[in-house]
Amino acid sequence: MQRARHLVEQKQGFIVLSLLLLVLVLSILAQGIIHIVKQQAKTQQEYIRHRQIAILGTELLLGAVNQEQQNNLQSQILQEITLYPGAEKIAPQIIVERRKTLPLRAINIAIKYKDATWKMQQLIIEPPGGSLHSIYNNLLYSSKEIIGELPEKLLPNGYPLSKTMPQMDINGYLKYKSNTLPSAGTLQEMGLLGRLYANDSGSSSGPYVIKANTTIKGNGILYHNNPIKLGEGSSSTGKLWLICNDEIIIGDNVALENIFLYANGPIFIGRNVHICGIIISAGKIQVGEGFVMRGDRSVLEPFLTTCYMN
Amino acid sequence: MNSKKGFMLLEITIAFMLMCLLFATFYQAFLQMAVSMRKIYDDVELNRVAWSVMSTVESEIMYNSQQVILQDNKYGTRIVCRNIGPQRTVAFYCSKVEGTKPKVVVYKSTQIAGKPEGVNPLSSPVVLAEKFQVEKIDGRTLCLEIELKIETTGRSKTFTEVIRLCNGHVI
Repeated sequence: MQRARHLVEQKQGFIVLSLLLLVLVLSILAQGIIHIVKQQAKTQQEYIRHRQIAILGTELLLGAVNQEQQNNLQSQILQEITLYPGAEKIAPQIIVERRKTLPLRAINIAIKYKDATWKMQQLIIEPPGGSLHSIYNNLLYSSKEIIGELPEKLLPNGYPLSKTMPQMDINGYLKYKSNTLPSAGTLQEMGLLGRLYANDSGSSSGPYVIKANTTIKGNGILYHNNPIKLGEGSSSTGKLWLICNDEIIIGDNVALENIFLYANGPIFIGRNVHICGIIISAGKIQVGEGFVMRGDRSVLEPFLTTCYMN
Repeated sequence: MNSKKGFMLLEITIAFMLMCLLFATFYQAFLQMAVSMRKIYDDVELNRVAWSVMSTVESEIMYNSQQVILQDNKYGTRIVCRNIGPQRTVAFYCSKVEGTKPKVVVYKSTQIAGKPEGVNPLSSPVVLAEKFQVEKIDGRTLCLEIELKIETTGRSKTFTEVIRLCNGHVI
């Protein structure tokens, strides 16, 4: 005891040391808690912010598309909005692109937040030249010749048969593609998502081939610069536009509902093919035996893609 | 000489004793701190799971569904989302995991036409789903309410979110 008293008298600092140790432990704990709480608050704020932006963008897009269908919507930067928590300011932007030659309208919503821009898009696409173009008075039209037996009611009328078909700016579709042309696996697993599909112009792609006996489900526009080949026994159930800068080859026993076929080259149709829709070709059209076609102009109604993140 | 070189075992013991004494004095405060810490950890875990579940459900419903069907099941609502891609149907629901200690968790089931159904749990194994309820507000809007509970401590939180469909409607 005497020894301990002696030590305490000689070295009073070690009491302070013990206190310091305790303070150190406590401050580490407190720091840890503060750090976790701060991180949590930051994550929560980011989560809320992304939801706010997504909801705001989606509502703006739906509103803009409605307005565009009623009258001409203009591109505009909307009034700055303050989002809480954090009192951060954002200025949503509506960007309307109109391409009269296709014709096509792209409605985009862009919201800049920090270093990134949140973008959402919806397209209103009409057939090349516009759905009111007189060429679409025909259910089946070739600017060259039609080879094979056709039901009389399908013979060209309305638009004068001529050697040259009016030039349509179909290359412009490439700029607005949202996905590449779907693979056999994608068609099998997902179907079409109501979008414009095309391969990059730069990619050295050959013909786009849809395997035999494929059922194409869902709505979509498939655009390709090279030939499109539809395997025998294939079918489609949704609204489908096949637009091609080259030839379209349709195999035997194919059944296509709500189809719009447009080719700048010839269209070859196999035997026992059933088609419901419109066929337009700048080249010749050759149909096989047992060809059945039911004209349906409703396929020419503007194609409204789904809303998607861009 | 010793006193100038460093601390003796006795000195350290006395310091430790003093620390213990202080700790005992402020025991309640420390206990409160420990409880708060535990709550914070639980909240972090609950938020993490809730955001993960909510984001998955929301992105599926908001962007990818053309038709959302709400069905009642034993543990709340089963949300069936018919995808824009007509081959795919996704469902979100609660179900019991059988085991030594049965518990209810949130699942996501993906069904691709012609393929077997794939089912994955969405919530973490330590978090139980107490409630998974969806209410239709209008043809394009629904309200999702999830109550999650930490299995070990029993701490629970309810999360509510309103989800709008961009490309479809609710049945």
